[in-house]
Amino acid sequence: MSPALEARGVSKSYDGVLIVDHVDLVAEVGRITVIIGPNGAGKTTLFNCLSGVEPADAGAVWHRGDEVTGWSSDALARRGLARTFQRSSVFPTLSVADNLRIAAENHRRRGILRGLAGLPDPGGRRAVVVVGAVLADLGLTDVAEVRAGVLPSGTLRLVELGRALCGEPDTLLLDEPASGLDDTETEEFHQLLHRLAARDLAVVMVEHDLALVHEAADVVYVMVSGSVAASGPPGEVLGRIDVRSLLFGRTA
Amino acid sequence: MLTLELALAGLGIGSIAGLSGLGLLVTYRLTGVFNLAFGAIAMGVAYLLWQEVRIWHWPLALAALFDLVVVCPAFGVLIERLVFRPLQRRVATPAERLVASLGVLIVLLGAATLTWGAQARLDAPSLVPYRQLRLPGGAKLPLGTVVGLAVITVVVLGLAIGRRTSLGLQVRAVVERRELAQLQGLDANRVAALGWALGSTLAGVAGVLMAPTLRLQPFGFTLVMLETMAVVVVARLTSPVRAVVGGLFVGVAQAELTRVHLQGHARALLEAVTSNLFVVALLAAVLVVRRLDEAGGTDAGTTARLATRGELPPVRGWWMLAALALAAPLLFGAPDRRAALAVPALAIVLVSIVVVSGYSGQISLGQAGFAGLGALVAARLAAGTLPGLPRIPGVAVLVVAPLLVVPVGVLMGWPAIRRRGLFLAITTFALSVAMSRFVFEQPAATSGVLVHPPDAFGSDNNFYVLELLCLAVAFAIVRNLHHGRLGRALIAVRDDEAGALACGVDVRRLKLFVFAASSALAALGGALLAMGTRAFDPVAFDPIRGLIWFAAVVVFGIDSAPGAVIGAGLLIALDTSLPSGTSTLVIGCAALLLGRLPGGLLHSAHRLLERLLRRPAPSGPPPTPSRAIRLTSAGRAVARSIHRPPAAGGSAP
Ligand SMILES: Nc1ncnc2c1ncn2[C@@H]1O[C@H](COP(=O)(O)OP(=O)(O)OP(=O)(O)O)[C@@H](O)[C@H]1O
Ligand SMILES: [Mg+2]
Repeated sequence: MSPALEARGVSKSYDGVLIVDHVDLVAEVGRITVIIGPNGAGKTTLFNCLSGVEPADAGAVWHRGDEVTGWSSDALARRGLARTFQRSSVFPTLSVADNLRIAAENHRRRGILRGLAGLPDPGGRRAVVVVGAVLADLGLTDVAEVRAGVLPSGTLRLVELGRALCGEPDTLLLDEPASGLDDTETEEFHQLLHRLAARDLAVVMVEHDLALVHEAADVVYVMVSGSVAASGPPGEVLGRIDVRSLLFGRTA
Repeated sequence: MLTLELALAGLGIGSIAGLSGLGLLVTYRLTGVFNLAFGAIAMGVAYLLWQEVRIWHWPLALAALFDLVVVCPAFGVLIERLVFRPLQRRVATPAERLVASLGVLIVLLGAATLTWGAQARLDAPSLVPYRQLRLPGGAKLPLGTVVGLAVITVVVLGLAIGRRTSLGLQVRAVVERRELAQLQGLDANRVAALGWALGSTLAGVAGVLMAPTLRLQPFGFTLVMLETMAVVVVARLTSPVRAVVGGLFVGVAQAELTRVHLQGHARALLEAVTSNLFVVALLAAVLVVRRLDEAGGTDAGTTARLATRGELPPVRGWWMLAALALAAPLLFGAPDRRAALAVPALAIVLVSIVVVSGYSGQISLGQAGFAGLGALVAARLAAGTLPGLPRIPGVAVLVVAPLLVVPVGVLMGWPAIRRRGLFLAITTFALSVAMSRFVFEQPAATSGVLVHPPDAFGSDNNFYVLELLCLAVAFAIVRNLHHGRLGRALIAVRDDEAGALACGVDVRRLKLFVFAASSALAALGGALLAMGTRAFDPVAFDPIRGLIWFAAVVVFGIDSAPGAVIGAGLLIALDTSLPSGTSTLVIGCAALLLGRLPGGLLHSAHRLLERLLRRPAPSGPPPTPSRAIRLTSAGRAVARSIHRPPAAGGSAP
């Protein structure tokens, strides 16, 4: 079976500076793939290239075996490649439920004129069901009707994750999903990750918490200055090289 | 030799354009605000000089010195202190700042119209005596041009040298990273005040130099000055030299084009192009330039912060009250009812702004263009004089004309796919100016156009009822644009475009669609507006009028369709009962007060009412403290590093 997401030789530069340098990456279904690396290593930029937010300068990306290089991010999202952002991108003026509902409703393209004429949306029922299930899964049912703009950042992380899940994705790109969570929330988040992977989702995430990486990751990629310095199972990668000094020491 | 002479003559207007461009640039680079008001400042100073010299008989030199050395800088400092510093303190979004500068523009327009009336004055004093300097080789150069070029040289040199001084370095630090600079003890407010003082002085100089070559008139003069913003788009909002060169180039090209002679239609076209070359340049620039170098990034380009943010539950039954109020004119006396005919029509135009700018967050300053086009197309359709199309009888015109305008709306939406915030605002404004100059003001397009209400609706009463029906239909459509799947997707685009894309929303398609829908609405409103007055008047669809409409919509609640109706009613009521200019002044002042009226007048009144009635807060848990604190981007960086799990934060060297 082809991997959920595969990237080969992805490169990106800004203003002549190479930020992502020929990165190869494979994310398998049912696995949690974690990218670690110091600040400014290019992790977010790599995510942007993979999810179509920014076009890559070079390289190719495959999603479930089909080449999707150069696809726009909304088309990729409808294909099942969902992502969250490092800087929250929830819709502050909408309720939590509506935030999720947008993802559930737009996961297939539907006629605009139908909406203009005020006709009911054929997928609307299903969208509401999906939203309800995800809200319950993430423990967000209590705040479902609250405007997202007034919620604390930890909750917003969950809202964004929930939004990504509502598109019924097969591949999830999570950019530092645990930052801003308190201890109990982090613990719950771990459990959630495992539940997701067990549901045949491919999870790719950027994470700084080495404890979490040890505990949750199936595969680790270490990114330094735009390229992959090491990759493999967390025990090996984290045991063999001095990741700590790589991440936070002089090399960074 | 003829060419050289023309080129030298063109340098005059070119240098004035260069000057006003420099003023815009300086203000923008030092304060981060694109000062739309510069056109009105130029107009105001030109009028002031006229007043001092022609009415009060001050000596010209003294008056000019007073205006340019005292009044202009003082005005700049004043608006920085009163309008823009509070915005800065609230970390206002670019859209909020744009609306504030629009507020200043509109206040000046209103004040000028009230003081000096709308009629044109032809006797603006000429600051520089009309004398020709003889150059070696026999060519002649007007003294005014020499002065303009000299001022430009001084300013450009001053900027170049200023950049290198330690003060210049500090200024740049403030401009790049205001919050960080402030932490370093640099006074960002002083830099901003300097930017405003310099910017308004340059605008004033440009206005005073421009006045003798033009008719002095509040709207007309301001628009001509605004058209020179072409040069800052060419300069991508950064390079002063490029702005100056751009201004001179267009000026010279304009002069040279007068040498070309054509026949027939081509001649009319050439004349239009020549006399509006800055508009052509502006249009070309906004379409060719890919990206403006906007201060502080373009991430917060939309109008989300101006919206009501769903804070309060909608008022139930408001429409019954509205229906009663709208039906009242049927009982009015004839003259008042005639005036009231404009209310539903204008309301539809304003609602079209609510749709595009309020619901989907795309700033559109160009709705007046669509309204005018709708009026023109409807009139010609009804008369059967639209080339290639048959005569359309009766009410059907009101359906066909808006549909014919839709392609133009899609065309306008095209640039909007890639542009946001300020750049989109400038682009839409440019398109509306182009429509006004190249269609509405061209005799070929408008002469002989007769405008009537559809046959069965000739009486004012019947026509008013027809208008109300149109308004009701518009509301039904608009409702679907704000609720349901479509409405949610539009709000998503407004609130966070990247987030909307990540949800699978086809943002490109949605933007094109919303521009199309709003252009059709504007066209319908415009057609009704013209039918109500039984004439096509280009002045009614002036691009500056479009700016006032946009501000009015923001004032009454950018995402409030009922607000748009109330706004339309108030505008027309003020216009018919008070001296002209009053309504403009009122809207301008309200736009400046928006900081105190978040979400617009209506929303604020609603909130006040809720508080007075002491209703319980909207359901849900109490708001968390994070709401009261609004972090600057520096603060966010700090917060992020604090939130990092200890494994990362703790081991950093
Ligand atoms: N749009 C852009 N234009 C110019 N430079 C950029 C842009 N986006 C990112 N960069 C630069 O690319 C580099 C890598 O940024 P990126 O956000 O990908 O790093 P990261 O690994 O995600 O870091 P962090 O852990 O802080 O999130 C940074 O030096 C950043 O300044
Ligand atoms: Mg990052």
